[in-house]
Amino acid sequence: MSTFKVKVITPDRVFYDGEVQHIVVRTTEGDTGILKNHENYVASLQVGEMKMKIDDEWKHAALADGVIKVGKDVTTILSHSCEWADEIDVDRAKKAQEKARASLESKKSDLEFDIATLKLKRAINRINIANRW
Amino acid sequence: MAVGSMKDIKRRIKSVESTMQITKAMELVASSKLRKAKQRAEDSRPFFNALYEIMSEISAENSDFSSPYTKKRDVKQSLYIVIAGDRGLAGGYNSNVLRLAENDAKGKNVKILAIGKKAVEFFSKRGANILEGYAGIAETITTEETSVLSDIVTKQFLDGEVDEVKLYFTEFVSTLSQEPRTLPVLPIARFEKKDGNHRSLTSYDPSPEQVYDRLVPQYISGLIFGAVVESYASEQGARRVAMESATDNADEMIEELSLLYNRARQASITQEISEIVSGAKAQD
Repeated sequence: MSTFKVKVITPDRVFYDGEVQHIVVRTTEGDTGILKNHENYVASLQVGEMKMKIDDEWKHAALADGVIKVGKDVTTILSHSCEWADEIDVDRAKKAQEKARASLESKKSDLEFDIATLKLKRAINRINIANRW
Repeated sequence: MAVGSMKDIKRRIKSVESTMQITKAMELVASSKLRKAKQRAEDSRPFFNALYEIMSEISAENSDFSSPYTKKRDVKQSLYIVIAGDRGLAGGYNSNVLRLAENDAKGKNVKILAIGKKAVEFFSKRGANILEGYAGIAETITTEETSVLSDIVTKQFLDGEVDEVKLYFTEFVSTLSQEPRTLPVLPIARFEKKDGNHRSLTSYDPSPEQVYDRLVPQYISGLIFGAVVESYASEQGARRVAMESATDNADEMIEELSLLYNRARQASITQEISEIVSGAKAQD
């Protein structure tokens, strides 16, 4: 299967930079698969799963919201955070989930509510992906 | 009398020495924090460069495109995001950036979003209209936190509460030099089209406007994150330089005081000898 170049970048690191055969991401419109020679394409991503087929093997990762841009030479994915399924610290995610839930219930300011909602979404996503793969 | 002044000098040397130990330690702490902060700033750069690139491509490729974020309005109310440190003893770091924001705000209706304890204190002392104030978040700031700030800012702008948003931070030019800077955030300036007759060959899901509008909060979050990280590196740089010169000054003072001490010691010995000699003479 032919490959194309993919870069996944988060604010704290370049998560992945290499050749990929097939990639599936969750955009705001639903799951979208990208193969080699895809047309130029830009879409927003929501919190969800990202699958990459590298050397005939699917790898799974938890992706937070961001954006994907498919260009002629390189496909770029930008996200606030990204982790491989086996990299996820489930205990930490569970703690984050509990903490987020607790602060949601304590009804603080809008700001804290927003942070907690976002954190909760990300934590649940991490736990789901870590458990599934 | 000589003995008394010797004691005084000795005590002053001791006090200067202990001050020097503190400034020396602060210098070392600042340089290790500076290294980490510089690393953070560098690690985050590829992400924001790529984000900026996508934004400019969307607006360059779609000439008929309009977004509430790019629309210019008459400025009746401004919002300044001002980033300063949580601690003092960093030379002119805090006052430079705060002065810059204060001068710009003169005679205008300005709301302040203050980041850093010093910024919060500065503006509340002057009775400024503080929208939000955050202290002690700069060192460990995450994009989760900045995306919340960005939500506040974009909401204010979209609701018509403010007509422009500006960012005040300190640019890290080098370890020795840091410049206070200001950056317009909203409305976003339209990016120049690269070549004249460029038709969009990219498909946007669902539409260029929607992708763009979803990107803007992330872009602003990125700007704030970058500015906070950069300002934090500047703070550490400024503190390192300030503490280095304080240590040097203390060193100089100790040298001078040691000279005085030795002179006093010599004088007292000379006096003792002459007393003994004259005493011996009187016995002869």
